[in-house]
Amino acid sequence: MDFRPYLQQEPVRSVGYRPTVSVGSEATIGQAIELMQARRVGCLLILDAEDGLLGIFTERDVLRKVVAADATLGLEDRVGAAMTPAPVTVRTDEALAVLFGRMFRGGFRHIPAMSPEGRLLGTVSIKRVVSFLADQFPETVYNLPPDPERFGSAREGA
Amino acid sequence: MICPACDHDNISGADSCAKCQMDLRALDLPQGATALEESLIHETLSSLDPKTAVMVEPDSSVRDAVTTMVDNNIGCVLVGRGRAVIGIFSERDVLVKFAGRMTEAGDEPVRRYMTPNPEMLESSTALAFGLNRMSLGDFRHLPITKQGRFEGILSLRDFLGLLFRWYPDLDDADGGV
Repeated sequence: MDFRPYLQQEPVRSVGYRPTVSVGSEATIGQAIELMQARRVGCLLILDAEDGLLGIFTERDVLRKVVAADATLGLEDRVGAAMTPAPVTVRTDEALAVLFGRMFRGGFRHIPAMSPEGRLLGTVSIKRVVSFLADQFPETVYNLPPDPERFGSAREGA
Repeated sequence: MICPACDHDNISGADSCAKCQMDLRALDLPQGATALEESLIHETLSSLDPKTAVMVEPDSSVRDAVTTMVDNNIGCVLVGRGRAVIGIFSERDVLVKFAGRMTEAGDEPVRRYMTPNPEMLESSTALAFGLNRMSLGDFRHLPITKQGRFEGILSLRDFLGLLFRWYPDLDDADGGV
C-alpha cells in the first residue's frame, strides 16, 4: 500500500476539526485571553459583524505581542490589533495532503476549516493531525517496544 | 516462520530455530506492511534531527524566560542546569498561568510556572514509539536524551515533517488558498 494516493484523495473532514471558538475584533485582548483560558484553547478566530473570518489570535500572538518585554499592546487594546489577519485556511473537501502541506510549510499549529461553500466551521490543529497519522498505523505505533533492535540480539544467559 | 540462517520452517512464534538454535525473537516484531511502516519501526528519533533547545536556569525570572522564547522564535524553553532538565516552560504556560498579569508575575522564578518533570525519550527510540507518545501523551514538545543526557527537542511539526521526507511532492497539486 502506498500511503500517498490516500492522502491526496481523502478529504480534510476525515481528520475533523474543533467547532469555532471566536470573538469579535472589538473585544479586548484581556477578554480574548480569558476566553482562551476558560475554553482551554490555543487559538481564537476573530470575526467581523457578519461572522466572516478576519483573523486568528493564538498563544504565539499573546506571547509576542502582549507579554513580551517590547510588546506594544495591553489587555485593554482591541484583539483586532493583535490578531494575525487573513489566516491561511483549508476547505473540508480539500485533500489531506493540502492541509498537511499548508500546516507544515507555513509552520501553523491551527488552520481554520471552511465548508465547501466557504462558511467557517472551526479549526484543525496539528495535534489532531499527528494523532490522525498515528492512528493510520495502529499495529506499528501502538504495539512497538521503545527499542526494537535490542530484542533478539543476544540469547538470554548467553 | 523461516529461519534466516538455515531456512528451516519453524512453527510460528518459536523463540529459536528448532534446527540451528538461531534466535528468532526479532522476527516476531510487528512487520511493517509498507516502506513507511518499516521506517517507523526501524528509524529512530535521532533521524528527525532534534533541534538544539534553549535552557534557562530554574531561578531565572518569568520575564527573562519569555524574552528568551521571543528572541529565539521558539514555543518553549527547558528549565534546568547543564544537561539536567527539571521542567519545561511553554507558550501554553504563559497563556494559562499569567498572561493577564505579567506585571506582577514577571519577576517570579520560572520554576514556579513551569511544567515539572517532562517526559523525555532516548534518541535511539523508534519513531513509531515517539509518535505514539506524542499522540497519547498530548505533548507538543518532546525533549530528547542521548545516553541519559539532554540532547535536543522535537515538536509536533517534526513528526508531521516525516510525511514530507517520505513524499516531498505530496502537496504539489495544492494551488493555494
